[in-house]
Amino acid sequence: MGTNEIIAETSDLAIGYRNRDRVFRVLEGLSLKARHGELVALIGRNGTGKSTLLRTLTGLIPPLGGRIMLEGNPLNSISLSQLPRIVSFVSTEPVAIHNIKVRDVVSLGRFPYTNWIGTLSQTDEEAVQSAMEATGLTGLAGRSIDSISDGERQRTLIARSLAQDTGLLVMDEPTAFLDLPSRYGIVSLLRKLTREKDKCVIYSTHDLDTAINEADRIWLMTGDGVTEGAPEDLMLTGRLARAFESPLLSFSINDGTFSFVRSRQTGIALEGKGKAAKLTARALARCGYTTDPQALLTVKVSESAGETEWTVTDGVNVRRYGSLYDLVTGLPSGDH
Amino acid sequence: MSRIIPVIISAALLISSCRHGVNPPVAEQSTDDSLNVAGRLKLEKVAGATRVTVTNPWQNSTGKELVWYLVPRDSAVPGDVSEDQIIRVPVSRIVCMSVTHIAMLQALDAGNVIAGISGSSLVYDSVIREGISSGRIRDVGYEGNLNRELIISLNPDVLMAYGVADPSAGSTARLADAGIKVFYNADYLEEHPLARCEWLRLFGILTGKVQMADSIVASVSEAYRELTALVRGSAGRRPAVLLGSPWEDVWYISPGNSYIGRLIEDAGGKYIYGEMTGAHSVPLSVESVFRKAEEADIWINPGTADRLSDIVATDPRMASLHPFREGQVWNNRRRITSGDGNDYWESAVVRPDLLLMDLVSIIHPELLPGFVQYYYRRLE
Amino acid sequence: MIAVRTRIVIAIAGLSLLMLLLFIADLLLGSTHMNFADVMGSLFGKGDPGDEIIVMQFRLPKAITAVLAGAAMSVSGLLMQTLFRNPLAGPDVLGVSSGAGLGVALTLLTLTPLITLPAGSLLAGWGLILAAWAGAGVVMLIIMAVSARMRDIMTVLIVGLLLASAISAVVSLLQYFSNEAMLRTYVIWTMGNLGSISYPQIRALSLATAVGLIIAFIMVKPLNAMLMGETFSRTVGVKMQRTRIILLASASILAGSVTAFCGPLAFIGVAVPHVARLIFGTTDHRTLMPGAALCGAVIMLLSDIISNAPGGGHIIPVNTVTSLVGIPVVLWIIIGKRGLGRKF
Repeated sequence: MGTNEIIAETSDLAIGYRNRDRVFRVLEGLSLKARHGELVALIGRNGTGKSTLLRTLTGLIPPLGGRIMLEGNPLNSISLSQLPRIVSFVSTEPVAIHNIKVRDVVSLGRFPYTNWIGTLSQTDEEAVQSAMEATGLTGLAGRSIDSISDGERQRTLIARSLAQDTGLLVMDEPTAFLDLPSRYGIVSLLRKLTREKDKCVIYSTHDLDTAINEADRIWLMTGDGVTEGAPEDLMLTGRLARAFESPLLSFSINDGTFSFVRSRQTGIALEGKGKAAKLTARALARCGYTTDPQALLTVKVSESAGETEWTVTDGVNVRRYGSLYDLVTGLPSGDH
Repeated sequence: MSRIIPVIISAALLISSCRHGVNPPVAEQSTDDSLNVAGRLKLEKVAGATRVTVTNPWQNSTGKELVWYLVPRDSAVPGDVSEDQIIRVPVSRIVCMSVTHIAMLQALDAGNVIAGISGSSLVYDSVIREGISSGRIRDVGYEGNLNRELIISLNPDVLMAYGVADPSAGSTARLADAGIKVFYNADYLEEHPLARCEWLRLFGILTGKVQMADSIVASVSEAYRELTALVRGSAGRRPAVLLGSPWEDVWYISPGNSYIGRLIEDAGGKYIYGEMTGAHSVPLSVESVFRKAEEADIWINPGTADRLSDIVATDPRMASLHPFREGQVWNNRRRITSGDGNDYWESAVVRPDLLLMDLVSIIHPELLPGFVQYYYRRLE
Repeated sequence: MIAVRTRIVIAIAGLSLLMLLLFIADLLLGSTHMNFADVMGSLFGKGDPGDEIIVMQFRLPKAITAVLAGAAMSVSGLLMQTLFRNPLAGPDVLGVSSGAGLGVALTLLTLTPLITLPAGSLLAGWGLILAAWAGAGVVMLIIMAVSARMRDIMTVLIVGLLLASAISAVVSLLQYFSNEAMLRTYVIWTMGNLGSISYPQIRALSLATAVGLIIAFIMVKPLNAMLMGETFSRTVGVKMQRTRIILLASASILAGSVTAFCGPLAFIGVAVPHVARLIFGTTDHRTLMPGAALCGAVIMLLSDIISNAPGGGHIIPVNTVTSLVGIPVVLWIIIGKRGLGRKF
């Protein structure tokens, strides 16, 4: 599992902004850790201060109080030339340049190591190459950055951070605006980097599913502060549920996901087995029905010759439907 | 050779009275109703009044005529002429927008009617300047900061103005609406020096000094014509003359048919751009003028230079010009004030004969030996 | 990768050759056309004395000035475009050219010149240039002070533009109160000119240009990082405040000096970096900076040749020519099919 040593640690950290004499304290009392080989997901609702925390960790914003240690050294004692070799940062700013090639973007990650004019040495070239290999970009090296997809562009920025050869990689919303497969792809890439290269990756996200399933450690940010632990720890203590729950949303430990709260529900009896029956239950739940074997209204799911058919009976009438959509449209709405 | 003496004598007489204004010799000339030189001014006697027709009083105008009736105070208005076309003469108060107007009034000893001028720093005449500093004469400004209210409060009988472009859009247009008689004077557009001088006759009528004006014009014209005849009569080559000075790699060249172009020709010189005709000066590259200037023997009017070193400071390459090397650089800044006043732009319009003498003595010194220039000075 | 290198080498070689050809052409053409032999003879002191003065005192200084001005303005524009992440930025956004114009306006349009120097002294003839330099210098200091105080580079951009507008208003006021003769001298200055510069002045311009270009080139590495954004630059170790001030200083020295000697030259700073990007196909400042300097020199020489095109001594003012060349380029930037106006 790698060295497992602590790479970043905060004690009693207070984060916020200073504007001349006025101080905006966003959060305080943060005591967090992250280790080599760990994937840390920073989650929390909008506006809680995730970006502020990440920028404070990377030295872009000065902390308002407390301490930050990177690689065992206090952040404010690390020189401006040394810091880029310890931590790299991918911000949410989109790349506004068009005529630059993927390879050149990744090469810019070697900035802290190259000479005054930016010439890449043999070592630098190797670092760039291996960064592109790790992120699967070797085929795109010569393409210009605006001709590739959003997911590929994000991977380019991650490769740039990788080329910077830092123990800690910090990323602000790397999966924002990506489609589902890309989101999963990015998170699994980050996972791979921690496993294979012993890096620590701290990233913020709104994508709870992947965070809960893939991260080693969660930093859960709320208005009161940040709680850390394994995803399951937070589920177990109910903190995760409480952080996100609302009158509309509830957390199910069984599924490990959030779902809509259904208020009033009508009972309906469901007969059937297997996949079709499960999906029918989902569709019915969406329409305000809950399974109740005692209910008068019954739905029978039957399969014959590869085709599924639904029969609804209320004891008096019988109706047949050929698709879940028709079934659900045919039933009265259950939650009024 | 013997014809020079009467010329010199009459010029000397004229010069000697130049301290305060110009008093003509006793002999009077009769008034002449028609003018043959000033193309833009026509004076006609109409039923006891004078009809003044000014043609094309601003640049680029064609076929434009402005008509005024100068009616003596005790006379009746002729025919059905509207009030806003009438100026009662003699006037008692004038506002002058140009220093040439001041010069003409001073030549007629009528400077006391000047109530306002435009651009006090440009005035040369010491009497007028004294009037300005004592507050008797007010500065009404020019262009954008023309003080219309001041003009109205001065209540002039006429505002002697000049239009550069069609004045309907300019600052003077609105004054007419306020009842001010705005007279657009076209003297500066006349191309012949004598034509400009003839406008003195207009001022003669305005001030009631008709005979004085006419006789000045006549003697100036006669002196001028005699001098030109003298020059033409003398054999010999015509020295080539260069005009103007460069600024930022551009040299604005006056056309051959311009005021100064004609003066040079009448003075027996050959303006190197004499073949170029037109209404405006033309910007040429300094390089091309430099080349052409090699032909020149004399250099006249090099901008605002008072010393040869001024020319070198602006453009050191000019030091290799032939006229410069020969020390034949002359500028019209002998009579200047500590401000921006230069009598060349002022009284020379009334005394083209003096101007011509200056130029003849520069271009053909052998014709006027020992002559000390009035407006011009050789640059050292 | 190899294809990119070849392209760059060919472009540099081609542009250098073009520059040399245009330089010679600029010496040959003028109010009268001279032939190659005469020009070469004059350059080496063996020609006809009349020709020699024309070539050595008129055409050669003009051609050298064109090269210096073109290179300086283009690099200044490139720095501005990267610093402000804006493809339409140019040296004028700093207000430095306006500052120079104000110095000149105060000298020419007021009744007592700002700097009256004794005519006989060594500095005579430099009065206008010093006034322009002083004006540009004051604006440069203001911009640098603002940059030191303000976090956001966009604030600096806005201050620069507002300063330029304010100065423009003051100059308009001075013009309003001037008479025709003064106005004409000022207006002629604003048309730009490459020709009225003496050799001592060329030496001064060369020195200023060299200083500006050297400082700019030392900054290529941070400039490349800045293409990726200010956040990225800071996280890889670029000291942003210091870098900004150095870049502003370099751009101001380049643009301010050219404007002081040659009057305001329009559009070159904005258009040429894009031409260079097109030719070299890269955004890497290590290539783009010398490339833009070369392109600028070429285009300025070409503009000078065109301004003499009417022949017979008639000239088109240099600013008119550079605008006619530059405006289509700027339009292409905004409208062109790749929509460069939206991004670099």
